[in-house]
Amino acid sequence: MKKKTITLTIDSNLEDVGLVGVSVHALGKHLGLDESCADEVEICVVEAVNNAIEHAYLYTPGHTIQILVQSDEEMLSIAIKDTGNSMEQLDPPNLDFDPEDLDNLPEGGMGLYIIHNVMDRISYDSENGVNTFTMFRRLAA
Amino acid sequence: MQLETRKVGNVLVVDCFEARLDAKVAVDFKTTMAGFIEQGNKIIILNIGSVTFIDSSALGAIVSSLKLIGRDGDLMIVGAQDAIVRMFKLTRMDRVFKMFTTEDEALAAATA
Repeated sequence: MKKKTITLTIDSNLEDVGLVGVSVHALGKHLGLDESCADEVEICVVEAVNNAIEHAYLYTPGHTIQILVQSDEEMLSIAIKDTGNSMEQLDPPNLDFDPEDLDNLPEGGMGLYIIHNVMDRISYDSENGVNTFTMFRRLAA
Repeated sequence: MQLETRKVGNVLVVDCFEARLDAKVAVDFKTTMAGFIEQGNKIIILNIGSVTFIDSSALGAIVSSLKLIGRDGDLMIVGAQDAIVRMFKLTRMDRVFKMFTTEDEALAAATA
């Protein structure tokens, strides 16, 4: 099957992240994901774009974020590209907390944890001022 | 932020009519909930039956509300759709919050 590619572009504004989410959800279903898998891919792309807005652009609007969606017979890949501050680490955060310990319940750090647990593989590189966070999800045969 | 409140005895029921509970509305949600709590509402039932999407920012805002209520109260979740329940389970927040299918079940637990 020929590789399919589409690029979405939004401003670094939280207002617009939902547009990417619903678009990728629809693309995922079109490419054969079932509803729950499309939901999972949607949450991951939203978390990744939120991270770019928060960490790369420090919530400053007016910057471009590109979302490159590619698929072939076996794999869906979603690359989020920004030109802001690069990330230092990609290690999965620890979400091992005591549910009874109210004071220490996590309020953040869950986005990357979700992505690590839902996607089959992720990668990150920063080259020539462009940061690329890529997530891979296998498509059903 | 589309939140509506009703008082049932000493329980505050908060109906959330946002379809997408995400980073765009998380700060507003957290601030509005903090206002309800600072008014003295210590037992809150949050009905999220209209919510079809939730991200980690919004989950964090709900956790923040629970922390603000403290140990002398509770924040219960009602009506979560399957996709939302999966998010609570994925982030292990299903172990933190009491989750109910209907408001009546939550009210019964709150007043037991």
